Amino acid sequence: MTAPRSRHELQSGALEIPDDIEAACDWLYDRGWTDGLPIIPPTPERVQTMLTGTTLSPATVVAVLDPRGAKASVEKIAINAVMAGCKPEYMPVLVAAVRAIANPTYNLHAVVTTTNSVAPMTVINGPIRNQIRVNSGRNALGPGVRANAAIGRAVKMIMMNVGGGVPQEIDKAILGLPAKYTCCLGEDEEGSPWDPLHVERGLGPEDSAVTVYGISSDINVCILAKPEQALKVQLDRVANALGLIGSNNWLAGQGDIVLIIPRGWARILNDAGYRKDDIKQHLWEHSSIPEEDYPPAVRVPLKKPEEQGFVRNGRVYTTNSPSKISVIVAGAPEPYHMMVMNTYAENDCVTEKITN
Amino acid sequence: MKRERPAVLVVTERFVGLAKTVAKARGLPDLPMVVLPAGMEQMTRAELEEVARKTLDEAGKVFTRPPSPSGSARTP
Repeated sequence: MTAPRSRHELQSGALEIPDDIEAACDWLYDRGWTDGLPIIPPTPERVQTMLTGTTLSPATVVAVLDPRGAKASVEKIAINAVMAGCKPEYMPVLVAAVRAIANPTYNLHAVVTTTNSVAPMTVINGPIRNQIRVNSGRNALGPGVRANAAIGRAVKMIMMNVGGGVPQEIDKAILGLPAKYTCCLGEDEEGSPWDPLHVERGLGPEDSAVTVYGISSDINVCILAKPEQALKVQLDRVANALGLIGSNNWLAGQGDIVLIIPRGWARILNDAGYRKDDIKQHLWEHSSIPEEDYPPAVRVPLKKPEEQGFVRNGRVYTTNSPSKISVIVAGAPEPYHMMVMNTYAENDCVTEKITN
Repeated sequence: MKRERPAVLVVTERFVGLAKTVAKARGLPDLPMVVLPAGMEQMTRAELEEVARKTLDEAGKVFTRPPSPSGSARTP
């Protein structure tokens, strides 16, 4: 993915940073330009090297990012990529991710500034996953793989350093979320019996893509029985996780809830006749509750459910439609766990093709 | 979007930094603000009414003040 290219004149102002790595980290930390963890100082040489990962000119403005309304140029993306520990070949993913979070549908201003605990979750699909070694297997959401760790971190750092989502001052989350440090995984397309996410969302299987969500929590759903004997039990447990009263899923009937299924479970479900759409429909129906169980006292007064269209025939649903539940295959082969990523509810996921 | 109408931003004190950032990003760095105290959820009705009175009073002053050279009234 790395294209040889000539060196470019950088537009960003030059700053004198201490040579010592610890002093440099402290210097940048003191100015509020890190996520709290040590970073790689973005020297001009390192930024130039990062820019070799894209065919775009450093001055190209990829998007304007809220709330600051700042221009996210390729150069600014590269600076944050250096700081987050990225390799140059991750640049096309970051460029696409920045396009995605700037899409009005993503509602970046709200994602960054809300008192809710919301993190961007980046899902990578297509051939680039293997080219840059994105983990879609065991511990796909855990530590240990550079692409996942650094890309997720860079996306959040771009939101902070370019978009202006500075914690405390602008990012008003009451508690925050560990996923705000990093949250990125690939879909296990090789282990999935179904169409991958980006194909479901209109791209070709040969395309590479990022899909960015706004997630508010993760719930691991564990089963200790033999999966073949407990299919309905497991799906009902997943439905319970989706339907947890108090979660943001109930705020507005909006947003995208994500269910992550390991390949072992995907195979069992597929053998039992379930496709992604069947799973979405099942969960949508079984996570709904009677309207009398969702009294006004537990509703958030920002939106009325009847205005949002997620109250139908006396039942309340977590989303307007089953299509607002995403199903992704990822994780280790063993069919022991699934994971539900609850939505922020005030934004929708966005998919962008990775091009340059 | 500028509509050439007088406006005042009412914002709680903990969101002043965010409000200033957004106003500047939208090309309105001088957008006048009336700042509300935080924690109004726990105020009594009498306390809330007092806040409302002060807010209306301050907002009224903003609306009746001559506009700043940039086209909007100054922040109180």
